[in-house]
Amino acid sequence: MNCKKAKKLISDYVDGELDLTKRSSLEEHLESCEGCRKILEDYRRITSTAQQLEAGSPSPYVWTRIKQRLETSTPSYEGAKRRPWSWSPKLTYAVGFLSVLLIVGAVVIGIYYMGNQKSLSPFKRQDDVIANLKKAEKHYKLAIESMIKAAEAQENGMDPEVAEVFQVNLNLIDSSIAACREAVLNDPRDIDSRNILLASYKEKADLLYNLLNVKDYSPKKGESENKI
Amino acid sequence: MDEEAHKESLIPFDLIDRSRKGDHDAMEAVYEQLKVKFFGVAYWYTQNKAASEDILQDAFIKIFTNLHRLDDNQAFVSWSYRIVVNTSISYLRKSKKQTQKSVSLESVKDFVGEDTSGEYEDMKKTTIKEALEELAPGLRSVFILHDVQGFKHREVAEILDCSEGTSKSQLFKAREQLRKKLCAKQVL
Repeated sequence: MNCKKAKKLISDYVDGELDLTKRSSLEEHLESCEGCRKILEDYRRITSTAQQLEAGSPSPYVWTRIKQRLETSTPSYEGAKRRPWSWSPKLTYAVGFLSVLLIVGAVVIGIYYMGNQKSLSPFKRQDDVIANLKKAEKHYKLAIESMIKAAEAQENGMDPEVAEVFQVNLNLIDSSIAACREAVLNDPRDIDSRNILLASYKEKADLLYNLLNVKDYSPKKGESENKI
Repeated sequence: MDEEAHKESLIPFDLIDRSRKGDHDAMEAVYEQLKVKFFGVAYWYTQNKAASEDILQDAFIKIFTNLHRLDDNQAFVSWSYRIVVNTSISYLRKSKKQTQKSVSLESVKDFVGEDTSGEYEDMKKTTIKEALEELAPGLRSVFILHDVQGFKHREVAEILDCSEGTSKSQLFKAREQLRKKLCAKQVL
Protein backbone atom coordinates (compact mmCIF):
# COMPACT_ATOMS: atom_id res chain seq x y z
CA MET A 1 0.00 0.00 0.00
CA ASN A 2 1.29 3.49 -0.83
CA CYS A 3 0.83 6.67 1.21
CA LYS A 4 -1.87 8.09 -1.08
CA LYS A 5 -4.10 5.08 -0.56
CA ALA A 6 -3.22 4.86 3.13
CA LYS A 7 -4.21 8.49 3.78
CA LYS A 8 -7.68 7.82 2.42
CA LEU A 9 -8.14 4.92 4.81
CA ILE A 10 -6.77 6.48 7.99
CA SER A 11 -9.96 8.39 8.78
CA ASP A 12 -12.08 5.22 8.57
CA TYR A 13 -9.40 3.35 10.52
CA VAL A 14 -9.70 5.81 13.40
CA ASP A 15 -13.45 5.11 13.49
CA GLY A 16 -13.00 1.33 13.26
CA GLU A 17 -14.84 1.30 9.96
CA LEU A 18 -12.33 -0.75 7.95
CA ASP A 19 -12.77 -4.41 7.13
CA LEU A 20 -10.11 -6.86 8.22
CA THR A 21 -8.23 -6.93 4.90
CA LYS A 22 -7.93 -3.16 4.59
CA ARG A 23 -7.10 -2.78 8.24
CA SER A 24 -4.25 -5.30 8.08
CA SER A 25 -2.93 -3.76 4.93
CA LEU A 26 -3.01 -0.25 6.43
CA GLU A 27 -1.42 -1.37 9.68
CA GLU A 28 1.40 -2.97 7.71
CA HIS A 29 1.94 0.33 5.90
CA LEU A 30 1.81 2.34 9.13
CA GLU A 31 4.58 0.25 10.65
CA SER A 32 6.94 1.41 7.99
CA CYS A 33 5.67 4.96 7.30
CA GLU A 34 6.31 7.69 9.83
CA GLY A 35 4.39 10.32 7.84
CA CYS A 36 1.19 8.28 7.84
CA ARG A 37 1.64 7.44 11.50
CA LYS A 38 1.77 11.18 12.19
CA ILE A 39 -1.48 11.67 10.27
CA LEU A 40 -3.09 8.87 12.26
CA GLU A 41 -1.94 10.48 15.49
CA ASP A 42 -3.23 13.90 14.34
CA TYR A 43 -6.66 12.46 13.50
CA ARG A 44 -6.83 10.79 16.89
CA ARG A 45 -5.98 14.07 18.60
CA ILE A 46 -8.58 15.92 16.57
CA THR A 47 -11.32 13.39 17.34
CA SER A 48 -10.50 13.20 21.03
CA THR A 49 -10.45 17.00 21.30
CA ALA A 50 -13.72 17.22 19.38
CA GLN A 51 -15.35 14.86 21.87
CA GLN A 52 -14.35 17.20 24.68
CA LEU A 53 -15.85 20.28 23.05
CA GLU A 54 -18.69 21.58 25.15
CA ALA A 55 -21.31 24.00 24.05
CA GLY A 56 -23.11 24.44 27.35
CA SER A 57 -26.86 24.75 27.74
CA PRO A 58 -29.40 27.21 26.45
CA SER A 59 -30.81 29.81 28.82
CA PRO A 60 -33.92 28.79 30.76
CA TYR A 61 -36.09 31.40 29.08
CA VAL A 62 -35.69 29.85 25.60
CA TRP A 63 -38.60 27.50 26.22
CA THR A 64 -40.71 30.44 27.44
CA ARG A 65 -40.08 32.20 24.14
CA ILE A 66 -40.86 29.07 22.13
CA LYS A 67 -44.08 28.58 24.07
CA GLN A 68 -45.11 32.18 23.50
CA ARG A 69 -44.50 31.86 19.79
CA LEU A 70 -46.40 28.57 19.64
CA GLU A 71 -49.35 30.17 21.38
CA THR A 72 -49.44 33.15 19.04
CA SER A 73 -48.64 31.35 15.78
CA THR A 74 -51.16 29.56 13.61
CA PRO A 75 -51.65 26.20 15.30
CA SER A 76 -51.03 24.06 12.23
CA TYR A 77 -50.43 21.12 14.52
CA GLU A 78 -53.94 21.31 15.97
CA GLY A 79 -55.60 17.95 15.73
CA ALA A 80 -53.12 16.96 13.06
CA LYS A 81 -55.23 18.93 10.63
CA ARG A 82 -54.16 17.40 7.37
CA ARG A 83 -55.49 19.12 4.34
CA PRO A 84 -57.62 16.80 2.22
CA TRP A 85 -54.79 17.04 -0.22
CA SER A 86 -51.59 18.93 -0.07
CA TRP A 87 -49.50 20.40 -2.89
CA SER A 88 -45.79 20.16 -2.64
CA PRO A 89 -43.76 23.04 -4.11
CA LYS A 90 -42.68 20.75 -6.97
CA LEU A 91 -46.28 19.91 -7.76
CA THR A 92 -47.18 23.58 -7.64
CA TYR A 93 -44.51 24.34 -10.19
CA ALA A 94 -45.78 21.46 -12.31
CA VAL A 95 -49.29 22.90 -12.14
CA GLY A 96 -47.90 26.32 -12.97
CA PHE A 97 -46.07 24.90 -15.97
CA LEU A 98 -49.14 23.02 -17.13
CA SER A 99 -51.16 26.18 -16.73
CA VAL A 100 -48.74 28.13 -18.87
CA LEU A 101 -49.07 25.44 -21.56
CA LEU A 102 -52.85 25.71 -21.37
CA ILE A 103 -52.65 29.49 -21.61
CA VAL A 104 -50.44 29.21 -24.67
CA GLY A 105 -52.98 26.76 -26.13
CA ALA A 106 -55.77 29.23 -25.50
CA VAL A 107 -53.86 32.08 -27.11
CA VAL A 108 -53.08 29.95 -30.18
CA ILE A 109 -56.73 29.02 -30.56
CA GLY A 110 -57.70 32.66 -30.10
CA ILE A 111 -55.28 33.78 -32.80
CA TYR A 112 -56.35 30.91 -35.05
CA TYR A 113 -60.03 31.77 -35.01
CA MET A 114 -59.38 35.48 -35.44
CA GLY A 115 -57.09 34.83 -38.41
CA ASN A 116 -59.45 32.45 -40.22
CA GLN A 117 -62.78 34.16 -39.84
CA LYS A 118 -62.32 36.55 -42.81
CA SER A 119 -62.87 33.90 -45.52
CA LEU A 120 -66.10 32.50 -44.03
CA SER A 121 -69.74 33.48 -44.53
CA PRO A 122 -71.18 35.81 -41.83
CA PHE A 123 -73.36 33.06 -40.24
CA LYS A 124 -70.67 30.40 -40.37
CA ARG A 125 -68.19 32.96 -39.02
CA GLN A 126 -70.48 33.79 -36.09
CA ASP A 127 -70.90 30.10 -35.13
CA ASP A 128 -67.17 29.52 -35.41
CA VAL A 129 -66.38 32.56 -33.35
CA ILE A 130 -68.58 31.36 -30.50
CA ALA A 131 -67.29 27.77 -30.75
CA ASN A 132 -63.66 28.87 -30.76
CA LEU A 133 -64.25 31.38 -28.04
CA LYS A 134 -65.70 28.59 -25.92
CA LYS A 135 -62.59 26.51 -26.59
CA ALA A 136 -60.33 29.36 -25.54
CA GLU A 137 -62.46 29.98 -22.47
CA LYS A 138 -62.31 26.29 -21.58
CA HIS A 139 -58.52 26.33 -21.67
CA TYR A 140 -58.32 29.47 -19.60
CA LYS A 141 -60.80 28.14 -17.08
CA LEU A 142 -58.83 24.89 -16.73
CA ALA A 143 -55.64 26.83 -16.13
CA ILE A 144 -57.32 29.18 -13.67
CA GLU A 145 -59.03 26.33 -11.82
CA SER A 146 -55.79 24.39 -11.36
CA MET A 147 -53.99 27.46 -10.09
CA ILE A 148 -56.82 28.36 -7.71
CA LYS A 149 -56.53 24.85 -6.24
CA ALA A 150 -52.79 25.26 -5.79
CA ALA A 151 -53.29 28.71 -4.28
CA GLU A 152 -55.95 27.45 -1.85
CA ALA A 153 -53.67 24.62 -0.80
CA GLN A 154 -51.14 27.14 0.38
CA GLU A 155 -53.47 29.82 1.62
CA ASN A 156 -51.95 29.96 5.11
CA GLY A 157 -48.52 30.82 3.78
CA MET A 158 -49.36 34.31 2.57
CA ASP A 159 -49.30 37.71 4.14
CA PRO A 160 -52.98 38.72 4.71
CA GLU A 161 -52.44 42.19 3.19
CA VAL A 162 -50.92 40.74 0.02
CA ALA A 163 -53.73 38.18 -0.15
CA GLU A 164 -56.28 40.99 0.08
CA VAL A 165 -54.68 42.91 -2.78
CA PHE A 166 -54.70 39.76 -4.92
CA GLN A 167 -58.34 39.16 -4.07
CA VAL A 168 -59.34 42.73 -5.04
CA ASN A 169 -57.54 42.35 -8.37
CA LEU A 170 -59.13 38.96 -9.00
CA ASN A 171 -62.58 40.44 -8.35
CA LEU A 172 -61.91 43.27 -10.81
CA ILE A 173 -60.80 40.81 -13.49
CA ASP A 174 -63.84 38.62 -12.84
CA SER A 175 -66.13 41.65 -13.32
CA SER A 176 -64.34 42.45 -16.56
CA ILE A 177 -64.69 38.84 -17.76
CA ALA A 178 -68.42 38.79 -16.96
CA ALA A 179 -69.05 42.09 -18.80
CA CYS A 180 -67.03 41.10 -21.88
CA ARG A 181 -68.59 37.67 -22.03
CA GLU A 182 -72.05 39.17 -22.12
CA ALA A 183 -70.99 41.63 -24.84
CA VAL A 184 -69.47 38.84 -26.95
CA LEU A 185 -72.54 36.63 -26.66
CA ASN A 186 -74.72 39.56 -27.72
CA ASP A 187 -72.48 40.39 -30.66
CA PRO A 188 -69.85 37.75 -31.53
CA ARG A 189 -68.52 40.06 -34.26
CA ASP A 190 -67.44 42.62 -31.68
CA ILE A 191 -63.67 42.16 -31.98
CA ASP A 192 -62.87 44.51 -29.14
CA SER A 193 -65.03 42.62 -26.65
CA ARG A 194 -63.56 39.29 -27.75
CA ASN A 195 -60.03 40.56 -27.38
CA ILE A 196 -60.73 42.11 -23.98
CA LEU A 197 -62.39 38.89 -22.84
CA LEU A 198 -59.39 36.76 -23.79
CA ALA A 199 -57.02 39.36 -22.35
CA SER A 200 -58.99 39.30 -19.09
CA TYR A 201 -58.69 35.53 -18.85
CA LYS A 202 -54.98 35.79 -19.51
CA GLU A 203 -54.66 38.52 -16.90
CA LYS A 204 -56.44 36.36 -14.34
CA ALA A 205 -54.23 33.37 -15.14
CA ASP A 206 -51.11 35.56 -14.89
CA LEU A 207 -52.26 37.00 -11.59
CA LEU A 208 -52.85 33.55 -10.13
CA TYR A 209 -49.51 32.36 -11.41
CA ASN A 210 -47.84 35.32 -9.69
CA LEU A 211 -49.82 34.58 -6.57
CA LEU A 212 -48.40 31.04 -6.50
CA ASN A 213 -44.89 32.32 -6.97
CA VAL A 214 -45.31 34.85 -4.17
CA LYS A 215 -46.42 32.03 -1.89
CA ASP A 216 -43.60 29.73 -2.92
CA TYR A 217 -40.98 32.30 -2.04
CA SER A 218 -42.61 33.37 1.19
CA PRO A 219 -39.85 32.86 3.82
CA LYS A 220 -42.08 31.14 6.35
CA LYS A 221 -43.47 28.75 3.80
CA GLY A 222 -40.05 28.03 2.36
CA GLU A 223 -38.55 27.33 5.72
CA SER A 224 -41.30 25.11 6.93
CA GLU A 225 -41.68 22.96 3.85
CA ASN A 226 -38.56 23.07 1.77
CA LYS A 227 -35.85 23.05 4.34
CA ILE A 228 -37.02 20.52 6.79
CA MET B 1 -30.47 6.37 16.11
CA ASP B 2 -27.79 4.67 18.12
CA GLU B 3 -29.55 3.79 21.33
CA GLU B 4 -26.37 3.41 23.36
CA ALA B 5 -24.81 6.69 22.35
CA HIS B 6 -27.98 8.73 22.36
CA LYS B 7 -30.20 7.43 25.10
CA GLU B 8 -31.16 10.98 25.95
CA SER B 9 -32.47 11.39 22.41
CA LEU B 10 -35.01 8.63 22.69
CA ILE B 11 -38.37 10.29 22.90
CA PRO B 12 -41.40 8.26 24.03
CA PHE B 13 -43.89 8.00 21.19
CA ASP B 14 -46.60 9.14 23.54
CA LEU B 15 -44.86 12.50 23.94
CA ILE B 16 -44.52 12.83 20.18
CA ASP B 17 -48.20 12.00 19.65
CA ARG B 18 -49.30 14.47 22.30
CA SER B 19 -47.01 17.16 20.88
CA ARG B 20 -48.52 16.52 17.49
CA LYS B 21 -51.92 17.30 18.97
CA GLY B 22 -50.67 20.57 20.44
CA ASP B 23 -50.10 19.51 24.06
CA HIS B 24 -47.64 22.12 25.37
CA ASP B 25 -46.61 20.02 28.36
CA ALA B 26 -45.56 17.21 26.05
CA MET B 27 -43.75 19.71 23.83
CA GLU B 28 -41.87 21.05 26.81
CA ALA B 29 -40.87 17.52 27.82
CA VAL B 30 -39.58 16.89 24.28
CA TYR B 31 -37.73 20.20 24.37
CA GLU B 32 -36.13 19.42 27.72
CA GLN B 33 -34.88 16.10 26.42
CA LEU B 34 -33.34 17.46 23.25
CA LYS B 35 -32.35 21.04 24.06
CA VAL B 36 -28.73 20.43 25.08
CA LYS B 37 -27.93 18.27 22.05
CA PHE B 38 -29.67 20.62 19.64
CA PHE B 39 -28.12 23.66 21.25
CA GLY B 40 -24.73 21.96 20.82
CA VAL B 41 -25.31 21.50 17.08
CA ALA B 42 -26.37 25.13 16.66
CA TYR B 43 -23.49 26.31 18.80
CA TRP B 44 -20.83 24.51 16.77
CA TYR B 45 -22.18 26.15 13.65
CA THR B 46 -22.35 29.65 15.05
CA GLN B 47 -20.09 29.59 18.13
CA ASN B 48 -22.34 32.25 19.50
CA LYS B 49 -24.70 31.57 22.39
CA ALA B 50 -27.35 34.14 21.50
CA ALA B 51 -27.44 33.01 17.87
CA SER B 52 -27.63 29.37 18.95
CA GLU B 53 -30.59 30.14 21.18
CA ASP B 54 -32.33 31.87 18.28
CA ILE B 55 -31.68 28.83 16.10
CA LEU B 56 -32.92 26.52 18.84
CA GLN B 57 -36.06 28.56 19.13
CA ASP B 58 -36.73 28.64 15.38
CA ALA B 59 -35.95 24.95 15.02
CA PHE B 60 -38.38 23.90 17.76
CA ILE B 61 -41.11 26.11 16.32
CA LYS B 62 -40.60 24.36 12.97
CA ILE B 63 -40.53 20.95 14.62
CA PHE B 64 -43.77 21.42 16.51
CA THR B 65 -45.67 23.24 13.80
CA ASN B 66 -44.68 20.66 11.18
CA LEU B 67 -44.94 17.58 13.34
CA HIS B 68 -48.29 16.67 11.78
CA ARG B 69 -46.39 16.05 8.54
CA LEU B 70 -44.24 13.36 10.11
CA ASP B 71 -45.92 9.96 9.95
CA ASP B 72 -43.18 7.85 11.48
CA ASN B 73 -42.48 8.54 15.16
CA GLN B 74 -39.37 6.37 14.85
CA ALA B 75 -37.88 9.01 12.56
CA PHE B 76 -38.68 11.89 14.92
CA VAL B 77 -35.19 12.43 16.31
CA SER B 78 -33.30 12.30 13.01
CA TRP B 79 -36.01 14.45 11.39
CA SER B 80 -35.67 16.98 14.20
CA TYR B 81 -31.88 16.97 13.94
CA ARG B 82 -32.20 17.67 10.24
CA ILE B 83 -34.33 20.71 11.03
CA VAL B 84 -31.73 21.96 13.51
CA VAL B 85 -28.89 21.43 11.01
CA ASN B 86 -30.82 23.14 8.20
CA THR B 87 -31.86 26.01 10.45
CA SER B 88 -28.23 26.46 11.53
CA ILE B 89 -26.95 26.44 7.95
CA SER B 90 -29.71 28.80 6.94
CA TYR B 91 -28.73 31.13 9.80
CA LEU B 92 -25.11 31.09 8.68
CA ARG B 93 -26.07 31.91 5.12
CA LYS B 94 -28.31 34.73 6.23
CA SER B 95 -25.90 36.28 8.63
CA LYS B 96 -22.94 35.69 6.32
CA LYS B 97 -20.80 36.53 9.22
CA GLN B 98 -17.98 34.15 9.78
CA THR B 99 -16.70 35.60 13.02
CA GLN B 100 -13.13 36.47 12.42
CA LYS B 101 -11.83 35.50 15.81
CA SER B 102 -8.20 34.64 15.43
CA VAL B 103 -5.42 33.64 17.67
CA SER B 104 -2.04 34.91 16.66
CA LEU B 105 0.51 32.36 15.59
CA GLU B 106 2.90 33.71 18.20
CA SER B 107 0.45 33.09 21.02
CA VAL B 108 -0.06 29.55 19.78
CA LYS B 109 3.65 28.92 19.56
CA ASP B 110 3.98 29.87 23.20
CA PHE B 111 1.92 26.86 24.09
CA VAL B 112 3.76 24.37 21.92
CA GLY B 113 5.92 22.11 23.98
CA GLU B 114 3.63 22.22 27.00
CA ASP B 115 1.73 19.11 26.04
CA THR B 116 0.79 18.16 29.53
CA SER B 117 -0.69 21.49 30.57
CA GLY B 118 -4.40 22.21 30.59
CA GLU B 119 -3.67 25.45 28.84
CA TYR B 120 -2.35 23.60 25.83
CA GLU B 121 -5.50 21.48 25.68
CA ASP B 122 -7.60 24.64 25.89
CA MET B 123 -5.60 26.19 23.09
CA LYS B 124 -6.11 23.08 20.98
CA LYS B 125 -9.85 23.29 21.55
CA THR B 126 -9.86 26.99 20.72
CA THR B 127 -7.92 26.40 17.55
CA ILE B 128 -10.21 23.55 16.50
CA LYS B 129 -13.21 25.81 17.10
CA GLU B 130 -11.70 28.47 14.88
CA ALA B 131 -10.73 25.99 12.20
CA LEU B 132 -14.23 24.56 12.36
CA GLU B 133 -15.66 27.94 11.49
CA GLU B 134 -13.71 27.94 8.26
CA LEU B 135 -15.06 24.59 7.08
CA ALA B 136 -17.74 24.53 4.42
CA PRO B 137 -21.21 23.90 5.91
CA GLY B 138 -21.41 20.36 4.49
CA LEU B 139 -18.08 19.31 5.98
CA ARG B 140 -18.87 21.06 9.22
CA SER B 141 -22.21 19.25 9.50
CA VAL B 142 -20.60 15.83 9.26
CA PHE B 143 -17.78 16.75 11.66
CA ILE B 144 -20.18 18.19 14.25
CA LEU B 145 -22.54 15.25 14.09
CA HIS B 146 -19.90 12.51 13.97
CA ASP B 147 -16.92 13.73 15.93
CA VAL B 148 -18.51 16.21 18.32
CA GLN B 149 -21.94 14.70 18.85
CA GLY B 150 -20.89 11.09 18.45
CA PHE B 151 -23.30 9.88 15.79
CA LYS B 152 -22.44 6.89 13.62
CA HIS B 153 -22.12 7.36 9.87
CA ARG B 154 -25.42 5.57 9.36
CA GLU B 155 -27.12 8.11 11.61
CA VAL B 156 -25.32 11.07 10.07
CA ALA B 157 -26.46 9.86 6.67
CA GLU B 158 -30.03 9.63 7.93
CA ILE B 159 -29.96 13.12 9.41
CA LEU B 160 -28.29 14.77 6.43
CA ASP B 161 -30.18 12.70 3.91
CA CYS B 162 -27.07 11.41 2.18
CA SER B 163 -25.33 8.05 1.80
CA GLU B 164 -22.99 6.58 4.40
CA GLY B 165 -20.23 6.76 1.82
CA THR B 166 -20.78 10.49 1.46
CA SER B 167 -20.74 10.90 5.23
CA LYS B 168 -17.40 9.05 5.43
CA SER B 169 -15.79 10.94 2.59
CA GLN B 170 -17.00 14.30 3.94
CA LEU B 171 -15.63 13.45 7.37
CA PHE B 172 -12.29 12.53 5.85
CA LYS B 173 -12.18 15.89 4.06
CA ALA B 174 -13.24 17.77 7.18
CA ARG B 175 -10.60 16.09 9.35
CA GLU B 176 -7.92 16.59 6.74
CA GLN B 177 -8.73 20.30 6.40
CA LEU B 178 -8.75 20.70 10.16
CA ARG B 179 -5.46 18.82 10.44
CA LYS B 180 -3.80 21.09 7.91
CA LYS B 181 -5.08 24.20 9.66
CA LEU B 182 -3.96 22.94 13.05
CA CYS B 183 -0.56 21.90 11.71
CA ALA B 184 -0.17 25.35 10.17
CA LYS B 185 -0.81 26.84 13.58
CA GLN B 186 1.57 24.31 15.10
CA VAL B 187 -1.07 22.96 17.44
CA LEU B 188 -0.60 19.41 16.22
